[in-house]
Amino acid sequence: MEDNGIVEMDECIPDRQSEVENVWEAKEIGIVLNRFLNTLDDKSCAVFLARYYYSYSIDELAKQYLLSSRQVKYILSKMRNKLRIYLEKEGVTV
Amino acid sequence: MRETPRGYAKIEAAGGEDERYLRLCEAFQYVDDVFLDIVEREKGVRRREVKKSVKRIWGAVAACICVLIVLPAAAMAYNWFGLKELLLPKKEKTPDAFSLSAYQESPAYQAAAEWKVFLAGYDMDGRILSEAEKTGFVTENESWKLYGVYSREMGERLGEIADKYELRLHTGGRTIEQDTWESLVTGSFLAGGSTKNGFLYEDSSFSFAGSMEIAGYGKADFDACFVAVNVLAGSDEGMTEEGLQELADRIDFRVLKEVQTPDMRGDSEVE
Repeated sequence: MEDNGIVEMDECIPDRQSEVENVWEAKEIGIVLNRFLNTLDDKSCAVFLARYYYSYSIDELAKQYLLSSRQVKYILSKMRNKLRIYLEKEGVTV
Repeated sequence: MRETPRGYAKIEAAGGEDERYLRLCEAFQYVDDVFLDIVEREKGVRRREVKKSVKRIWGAVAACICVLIVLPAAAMAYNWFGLKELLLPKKEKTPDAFSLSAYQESPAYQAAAEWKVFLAGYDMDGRILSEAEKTGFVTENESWKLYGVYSREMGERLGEIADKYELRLHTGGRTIEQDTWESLVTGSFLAGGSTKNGFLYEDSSFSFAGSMEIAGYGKADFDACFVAVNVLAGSDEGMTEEGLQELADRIDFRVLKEVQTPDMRGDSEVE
């Protein structure tokens, strides 16, 4: 599977059939996304955006930030879980 | 010039049939530049080698300081979350918590070092983590969650290290959102600084990440206090001894009452 990170984001997207009622357009999701990013420390924010905005591979991230691949995957896993919870809390469905 | 999100371009190029992916990718286009600047800034900081320079670092606004503070009595003084009612017994010794940092050669310090060595050599290729994500490794052990444990092997090793050094693991805590944090911490302690969210552990120790310029140190009425200041970097030129000395000089420890000097070991000096 192509390593572009987008598939990983699937687990962050609340189910359209969930109990959350509000539906956000992309711009409004972006506003929520910015609020979420503001809760992160700089390192986590940088790794998160480098992966899902710039679509860097795990190996590229590990090299850029002098981390092991395991550490990169762990950080991303933690961030995706936080984003999922944050989107649900904000009532975001996609 | 701002780089187009590669993920969005790839989805578009692939036909963009999945509306959910496109919607989320579109949202990424509205990420504020200030966050993208962080990506660039972090890249630059981590690429450049630390230069051995005697140049002073004060004036570098981008100083990033991570402060880990243990303030059980301070928490009691301010009665955070009702902790004042949970007075620690004065005569009975409570095991120290397995924390992220401690003074040199202490049991907590050695335990943290041993845990770090274990993590450095564990699951190097990330397969166990990937498997844990697929199977959804869930543990009822709240302590394990606080230490980033994602396999039974990790959890058991963590417990072994704690037992070896007669430490107790943290048992719980809560994330403190930025706005809550700012209402809890008052006075001049964090004057001139800004914080992101933090985490408060069950024993009232807490951690947060942020940036600040050392301005003052608020008065706290407490019985015992351990303060550890981990300075990650002052600038892309790194931290010098002179800079650390100036940082230390700007913290007014005279506001602390009944200071007890810890048993200093290693090359640390008591002042």
